[in-house]
Amino acid sequence: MTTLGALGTAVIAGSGVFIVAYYLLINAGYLAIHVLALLQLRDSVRESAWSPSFREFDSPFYPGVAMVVPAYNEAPTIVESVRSMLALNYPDQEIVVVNDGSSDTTLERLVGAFGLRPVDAEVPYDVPSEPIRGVYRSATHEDLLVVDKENGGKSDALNAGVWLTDKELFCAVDADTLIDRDALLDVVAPFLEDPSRTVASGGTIRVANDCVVQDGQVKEINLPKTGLAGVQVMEYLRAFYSGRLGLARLKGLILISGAFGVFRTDRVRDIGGYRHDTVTEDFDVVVRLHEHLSDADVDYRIEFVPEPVAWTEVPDTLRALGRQRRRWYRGMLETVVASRRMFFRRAYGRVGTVILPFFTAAEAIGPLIEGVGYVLLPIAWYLGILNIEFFLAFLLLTVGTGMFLSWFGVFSEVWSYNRYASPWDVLRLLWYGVLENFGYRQWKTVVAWHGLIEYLRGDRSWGVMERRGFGSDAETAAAGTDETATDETATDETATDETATDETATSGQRR
Amino acid sequence: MSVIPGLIATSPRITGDLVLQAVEIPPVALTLAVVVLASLLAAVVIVTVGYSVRAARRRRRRVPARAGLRSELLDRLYGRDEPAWDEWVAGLSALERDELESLLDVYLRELEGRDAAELAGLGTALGIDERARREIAEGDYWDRIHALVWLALLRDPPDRGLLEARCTDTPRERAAAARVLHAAATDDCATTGVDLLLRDNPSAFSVFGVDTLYRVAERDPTPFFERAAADFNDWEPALQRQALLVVRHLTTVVGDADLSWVVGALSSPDPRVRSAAWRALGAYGWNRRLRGVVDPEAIPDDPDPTVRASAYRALGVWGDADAIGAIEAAATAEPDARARIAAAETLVSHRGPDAPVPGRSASLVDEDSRPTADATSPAGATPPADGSALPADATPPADEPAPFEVAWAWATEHARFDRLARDISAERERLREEVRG
Repeated sequence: MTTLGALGTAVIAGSGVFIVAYYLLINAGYLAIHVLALLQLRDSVRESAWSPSFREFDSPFYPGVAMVVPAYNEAPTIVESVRSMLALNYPDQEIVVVNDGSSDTTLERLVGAFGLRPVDAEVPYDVPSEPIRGVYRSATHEDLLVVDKENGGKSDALNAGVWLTDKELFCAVDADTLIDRDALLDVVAPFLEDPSRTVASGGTIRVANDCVVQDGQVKEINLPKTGLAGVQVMEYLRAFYSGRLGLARLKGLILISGAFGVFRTDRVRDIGGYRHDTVTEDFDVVVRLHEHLSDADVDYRIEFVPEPVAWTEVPDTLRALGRQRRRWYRGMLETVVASRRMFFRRAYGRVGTVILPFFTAAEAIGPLIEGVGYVLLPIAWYLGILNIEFFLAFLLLTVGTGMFLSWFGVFSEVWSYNRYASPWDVLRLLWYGVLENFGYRQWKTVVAWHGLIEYLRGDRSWGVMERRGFGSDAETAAAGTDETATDETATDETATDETATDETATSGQRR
Repeated sequence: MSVIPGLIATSPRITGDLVLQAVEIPPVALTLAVVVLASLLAAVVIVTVGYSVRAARRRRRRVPARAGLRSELLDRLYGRDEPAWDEWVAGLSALERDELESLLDVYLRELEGRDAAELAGLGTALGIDERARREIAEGDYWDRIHALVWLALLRDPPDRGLLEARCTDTPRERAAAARVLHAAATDDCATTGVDLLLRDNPSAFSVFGVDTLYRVAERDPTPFFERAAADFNDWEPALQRQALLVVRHLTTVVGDADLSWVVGALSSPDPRVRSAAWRALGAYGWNRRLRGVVDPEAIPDDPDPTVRASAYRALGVWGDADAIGAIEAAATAEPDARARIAAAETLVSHRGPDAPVPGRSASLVDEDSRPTADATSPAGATPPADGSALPADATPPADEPAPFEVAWAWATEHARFDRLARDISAERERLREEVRG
């Protein structure tokens, strides 16, 4: 045995010990978050069951909300999405669709469907975005505004919308998102309860694959037929019903989905809007709000409301999913690095002292370490130093605890809002919680490493977005525009795939 | 001797074992962990599936029951002279009573007048009023606030002693209690309501609280205005803004109430309070005495553009020649783009979208000088790509419109669209009426 060989063996064995210890700590943290989530969910269910005796539509005090919808090559879904938003129950609402230089027929479809006409006037504001080519208003829908601008990415499009509305609040919505009719009323609940302190509020995102959609609304909730999409349903449940609720309980919510989140317009303008140099602008904007408001010593709340639901299509091929998750991973690293001055500083409260460090350890570093563990196992076995107790401990901490936390998320859903009505669907969800640990989970550690390499290389692309559309109309529409909808260009950053950074919460929640 | 040389001199297996032995996991601990985890997993599966099965069974029974109850309820409410709620309720199962209660909640929120009074009888037949009183007297926080909602929906106030003793712990409870008094139109709704709502000078209201304050003050504004005149300066800025918001919506019902505290709020150090004060004063243009003490000439001196924008909108609501003149004087020199838009929108609403740009002679305002766009570029570009905007008082190049002209063009275009959408909407309504016959 050479000295080098012995040293290598010691490193392998030491790494094993380190990995098991690391996972023990991370899982203890996750377990605590999940238990807190259950308490928060109990309160949320109670809260949502109490409906004060007044009529929203008679009250002059509801805050106005602008739905800001960035759209890049969204021709297959845009008309149905806007119809869905126009049909929302809310007393004071405006829809601002921002066409981010689409190369397909997104704008033409909007013009045709809603009788848009150009506003013959220069935009009088200094908007921090790429040049605006035109602003359109609808002759039939007074509250619809369409902004056509040069391509600049999702953040850029969101900024155009945020600067062009006068509403007190805005709701960032992905163009491929369907929102439940009462979801906007529900998601603004924190602003109604504490209007002077609340600055942001997020709702739940669910998977729309294989659901029945009519008139821009999900009419029948079904579990996807394919395992890959099914596993993502379970991941989303875990992320929203466990992860975000737990963080909200700690008053440290750092993620609000870009697909469905409401913000105080002036507060987001105060921080200069969305940053252009990140691929997970939704995560970034929430962290920067925490930073800015803490620096300014403002008493504020950022809340998560589990009941309001927006529906989105998730990737159903491993290739598309890998692209999405790599981007989320890169975006998470960007935001973590950008917010490093907040770490371990009491001035930033629990966000700085606990949440961001834990999040980084669990979500950014965790998958990398887990990946190393999977590599070390066969090497240790080959060298004959595979310690059975440590192997079992590793399995227990990854697979066993992972399954438990996943099932915890499913339980939370069933116990609270119970949208998957059939017990068979619930059993399938539980089964996905088992299935994901064999292959899928390991694949995600590879994706994390790949994402890290892309980040280190300075890759900032968003990758291909594939749109199928909802319902029969959209499918017909998609048939004619698929080439553009799936066109991989360097600037399709506005293509709004499923909520950016959701998986930053979903992937690690069960470790 | 160091440990490391010892480690590296041994075989790989021994080296690894040494490292692992340093933090050995006792087999008993591992076994215990496996047992605990397996038990937890089994428990989660059993409870999850159990809940799901129970919920599915309940849903299967409730859905058809609800449909039948709804049609029976509507038939009794509208199809008969006497609904005979007691007789009907007596024959219902527990599940049906639950479902009927849920339906009643929906309809009581939608209906008014005689229908709501009739439905309140169903609430009594279901024993909801008695139960609500019992829950207020004996229940916990959640029981109490649910009970207060029921009593408000049934327009059935409990006695004041019970409200005072049991429903004043939190701002939400106090708002819900005030709402019961308002819903039941009690004589003391304004005095007791304002007292409940403003007890302990809360830091701010929820929207429900603000709405309730507005409703009780609408019934009789005196208690609210007296309280505000006395305490306004002691309130938190958030509460001040909400009080001013209520004043803005009360308009003519206030009569000759003392509004000096609203005028005083124009001097608040908090710009959001000043802004709210301007918006509130906008609703009182009919009050000459009040207008006499407000100085529109001072508007450009306010450093905050949101305050100036609110002031322009308030003066626009007043709408007299002096107010409009003050906006015109300030608007062309207004340095903030959003405040300029507010001024332009206000002036456009008075003069119409075809009026010439204020501050320029009509002869100067021709189509060539207005910002235009060609067919491929419907609206002009945003301000210069470097992000700089022209200061309002800067003289733009001859071929560029002045900042206020840009704001004016924007405001007139949107006013035209608003009018167009309203015309189309009115036309649709007219056609609908025609079809209805």
